[in-house]
Amino acid sequence: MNIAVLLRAVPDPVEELELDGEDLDRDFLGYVLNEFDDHALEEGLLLKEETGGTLTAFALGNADEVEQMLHTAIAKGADGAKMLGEELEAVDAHAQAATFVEALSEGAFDLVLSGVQASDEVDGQVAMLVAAGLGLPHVSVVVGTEAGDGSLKVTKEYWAGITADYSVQLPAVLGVQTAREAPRYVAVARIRQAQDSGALEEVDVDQPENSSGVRITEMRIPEVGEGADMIDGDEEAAAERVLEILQAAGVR
Amino acid sequence: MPTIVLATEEAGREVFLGFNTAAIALFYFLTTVAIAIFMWGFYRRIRKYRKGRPAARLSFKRFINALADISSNRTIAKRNRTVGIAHFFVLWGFIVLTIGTAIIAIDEDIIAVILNKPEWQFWHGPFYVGYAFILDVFGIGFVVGLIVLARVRRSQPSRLDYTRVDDVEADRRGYSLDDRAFLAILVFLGVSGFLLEGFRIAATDFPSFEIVSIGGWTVSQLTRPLGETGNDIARMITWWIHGVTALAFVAYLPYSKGMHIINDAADLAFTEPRSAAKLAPVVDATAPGYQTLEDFTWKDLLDLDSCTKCGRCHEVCPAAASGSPLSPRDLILDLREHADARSGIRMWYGAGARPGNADASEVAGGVIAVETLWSCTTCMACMEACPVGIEHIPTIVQLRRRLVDVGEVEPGLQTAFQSLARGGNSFGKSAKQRARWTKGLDFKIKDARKEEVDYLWFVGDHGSFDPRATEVSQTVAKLLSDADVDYGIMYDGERNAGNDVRRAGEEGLFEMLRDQNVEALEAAMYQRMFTTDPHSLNTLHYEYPTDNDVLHYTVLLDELISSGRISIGALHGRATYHDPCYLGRYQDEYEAPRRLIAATGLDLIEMPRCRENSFCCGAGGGRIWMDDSALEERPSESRIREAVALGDDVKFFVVACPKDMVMYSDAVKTTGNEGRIEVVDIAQLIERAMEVVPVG
Amino acid sequence: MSNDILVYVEHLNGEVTDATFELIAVARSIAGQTGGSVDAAVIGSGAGGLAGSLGGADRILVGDTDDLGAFNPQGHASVFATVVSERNPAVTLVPYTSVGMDVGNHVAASCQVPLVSYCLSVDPGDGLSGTCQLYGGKVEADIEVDGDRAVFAMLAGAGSADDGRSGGAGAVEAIDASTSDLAVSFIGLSEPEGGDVDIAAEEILIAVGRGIESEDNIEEAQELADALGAALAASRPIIDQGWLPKTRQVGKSGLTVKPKVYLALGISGAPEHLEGMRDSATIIAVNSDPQAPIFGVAHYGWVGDLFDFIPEMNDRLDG
Repeated sequence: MNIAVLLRAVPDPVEELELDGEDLDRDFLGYVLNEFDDHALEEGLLLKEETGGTLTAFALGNADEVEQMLHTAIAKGADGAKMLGEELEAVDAHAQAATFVEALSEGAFDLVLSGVQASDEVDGQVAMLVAAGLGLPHVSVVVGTEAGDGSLKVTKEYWAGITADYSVQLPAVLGVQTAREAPRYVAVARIRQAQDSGALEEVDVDQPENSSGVRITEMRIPEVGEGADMIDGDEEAAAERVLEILQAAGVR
Repeated sequence: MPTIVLATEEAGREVFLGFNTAAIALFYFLTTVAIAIFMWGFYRRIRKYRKGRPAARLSFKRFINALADISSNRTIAKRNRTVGIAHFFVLWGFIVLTIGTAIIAIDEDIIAVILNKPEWQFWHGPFYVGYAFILDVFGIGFVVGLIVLARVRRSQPSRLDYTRVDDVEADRRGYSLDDRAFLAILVFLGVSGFLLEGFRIAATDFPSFEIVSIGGWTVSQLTRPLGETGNDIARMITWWIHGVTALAFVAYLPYSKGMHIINDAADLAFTEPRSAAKLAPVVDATAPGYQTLEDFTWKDLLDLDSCTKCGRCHEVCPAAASGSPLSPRDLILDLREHADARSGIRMWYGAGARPGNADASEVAGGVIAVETLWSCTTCMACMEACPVGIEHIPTIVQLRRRLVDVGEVEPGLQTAFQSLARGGNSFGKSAKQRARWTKGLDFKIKDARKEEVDYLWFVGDHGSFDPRATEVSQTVAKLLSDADVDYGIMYDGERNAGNDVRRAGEEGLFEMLRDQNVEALEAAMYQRMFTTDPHSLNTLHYEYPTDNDVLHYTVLLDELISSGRISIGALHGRATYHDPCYLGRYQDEYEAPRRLIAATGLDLIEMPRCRENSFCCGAGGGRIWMDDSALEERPSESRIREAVALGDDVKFFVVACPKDMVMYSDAVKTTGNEGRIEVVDIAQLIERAMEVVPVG
Repeated sequence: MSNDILVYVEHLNGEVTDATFELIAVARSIAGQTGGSVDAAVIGSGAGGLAGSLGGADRILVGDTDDLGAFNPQGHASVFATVVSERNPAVTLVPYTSVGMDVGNHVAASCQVPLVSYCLSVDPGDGLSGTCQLYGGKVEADIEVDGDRAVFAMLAGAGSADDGRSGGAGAVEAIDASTSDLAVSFIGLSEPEGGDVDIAAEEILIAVGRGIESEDNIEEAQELADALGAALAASRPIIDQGWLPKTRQVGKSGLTVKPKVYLALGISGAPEHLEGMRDSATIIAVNSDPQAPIFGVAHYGWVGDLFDFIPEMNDRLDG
């Protein structure tokens, strides 16, 4: 099975975000791999290990963090990695998807995996938009797969622990929520070896342009409010107050 | 005063008295067989060690040290005088008796027969008298020492309990049998030797010079009633029994606990006590750590065979004490069983005490369980307690390197590694926030990257991010400022020094952090460096290429107080001090903190486990990043209980390490001792003492 | 071209979800401004039977078919896409859920219509605009749409489900729900072992986080929950450890809850968790770290040890 995994760099959720007009202030922003893409990579690696075949990782933007993401993917077992484009810029999901679609059409992939969502997709989910661009079926919120003959058994999660199984004929695109197993750890030393291996390819692509029809006009940090009304004192005071609050809320 | 005429000139005795040629021939035949069996067993071991990877361990200094260790038995006597003294006599008794036998062999076999120079024989006359006396005295010491050791064993101290700490089934009766057999044979040889001597003296009409053989002489008085013939028959029988047993002992030595006689001497001669502080780098980056036995060095393999199961490491290990599946002793024994099986060595007491040790192809995760390897805090109590020089920690780290390489890393540790790789700290914060703790000060600390300072302060992770430890950092900053010390920090140029990362087996990440820190250090301008974190201290001192002369801040504070740059008043009360593992055992620094406590006027009451025997808080080796919910009792809780047991009036639990501050603050709460004892850093004590200086 | 608002009806096991009713409420409010009608499209097995509960819509489009199983990402989405391209509504609303993701993206791509994700509110005023929540809730963004039609994927809490439920009986219209050559076929639904609680339906939730430290301590928290008639929930780390079943997970990859009271014990308040509970009516947080982000969304907070708090509460509730 030839698998493609799409990785995206998103602003590090740990960082305090600063704004600059209609966008984030990206001058000192730290990027990390989108957590769901990490799961997509893991699911892809598990399928590759089960079925043989190859796994290629794709990422947008030529930046240290993106390189790091791709080298990590290689260290974990990806056969190749392609870094698409130039600077890491803020582009919407449609533009990202278009770039991925172009890069993917050059390979013959049976399965395309990506994270089900990312924190900046205001105009749709990249995984699903890629599917539409490739004319392939897609399933989102995937929590497990099982390889079969020519088709893949895919488990989709709904809510409250309810899941459904589907049989998906390949080729297809999946938006992964969680992999069957937690993303594997790969030692820093192996990532360094990946850096030396030369498996990373830099690919020139046209800088994607926003074309989704959705424009951000303003960004703001929502008011956190006054914060909580803090209770003073020891646990006795706290318990007493909490019981009062519960009563006032009408649940006692 | 009556003189005892010894007729010294005639002193001597006939060897093989009353033996016919056949008997003598039989004896020599048996001797040859015994020695051959011994040589074979010995050769097998050497062959096993030769398969090990090379290790540079030849050191004249170490040899001399080992000689001193062995001849004084000081490593055994440490914290256990009774056993130390008893073993001293057993060891020297054995040596003297062996030399005694060798003397006879030289005199009777080599000089008389082989060289055919009877005129050179010396084993007679005054020499013989002296010989007889010395041998008997040491012989008695030998037997008495053995009896004392036997009694210690009979009292079933917990360290000699071979029950495993993990849930693995193992039949260790063979080990106990070996222990008892060894002891029994030695006692038997000693006692039968005296009996033999007694019978001989009685059978040869009590030669006067034999009175110096105090043991044998006494026995002969008791056996006198048997008559000359009776004693002679008894002598012959005892001679054969004693002789054959002795030969059997020689033959059995390398197949039993007896091999510790040779192994342990070698281990002490080749050991490197600093090998835990200064870890060996990764040899092959594509295959880091120990995967199979072939990766072990000859010293590692020697270590495995040198263990006498004394149980001291087992007794002091904080992981074992808290209910985790790690016992340093079992680690060594499991590895030994595996190594023996792989070399085709079967010990007479059974090779497979733990099934699976033999067949496992992987060491890390196979022979030694993953949870066992991750349980170690690298506190070094095991290596410090080991009387024979076994190096447990470097082996554990090598096995952890393998686990990391294959991704066998628990989620908490993974998160820590990822955070360290991203932001250079284990707190999930960005690197830019490293110096946020300085915001609480009303002055600005110099940036050593931008201006020159006398002292560079390497703050460390916990001192920068954990609220309980940043309080101490602020106190230290204020103290130094008040004393007009010219110091600076590297702000966000500093990263976690990597000590615990390295000991958790992530060598690649350690190198990355080290390189980042070295870059910052080389750009910084300073004369000397100090740190508030003993873990950082260790790696900066031993494992970084730059400035190796790093001070612990207590040493600096000590200088400042004794030189008068900081004036303090007197506090009242009693305190106890916890020696941090990485300051005490790793750096041999015990006194500066104690001088500081004394300078504040507090009464220092030592806990039973203090100085080199300090009991770890449980945070080292990356354990602070791992899940400890499975532990029965956290080491930090055990330690607080130990402190509280010192008495109600001991109000202060003094620490000198940020992780200790964090662990013990928590432990005071979880053991319900809040209000009873306060965890306070040395710097905080100094600050309080400064506040009581009379004004004016 | 029409001024109408089309709502995708999400349903499972014979029940229309609250998310759908929220969409209907939002649709009604938009319709109130634009004057269009509110259509609700319900597709799949038993669709006909669900029409009755959709009184809040003016017109109910029913595509009853048993070919697609409980939900088929490809099948349901393509049927709905046909409806959208035929009817061309100004505003199409889908819930931002597992179902809505498949449907919304497919419709937007195949009908060439802009899609607004993570949407909090829609303003049909001067052109289509709205407000979205990005970066794990850290940022609010105002958006504008090019053109006069768009699909909006609405976050939980965008509207009031109760408002969406009320209303008269709408007209029912059958639509063609046939599909062919689907690459995705439904095999079966799995529900978690019976007997477990639906935390989204509870009035009071006691949620535990990393601060609970060990599985043994969950028992005490359960005691408290029992005493209060509450259900026990947890943040992701607790679920990952296996200390509580997945059905109790609150947050991004778990459930979104809006109970009357949410008592967070030992939860730091990472954005992924806050996403799942920030709209609870009353949030009380207990955490030993005074800087824990949870205090930013909580209504009441106490900085202290939950191992002191829980026993104290249990003692008082016993008496």
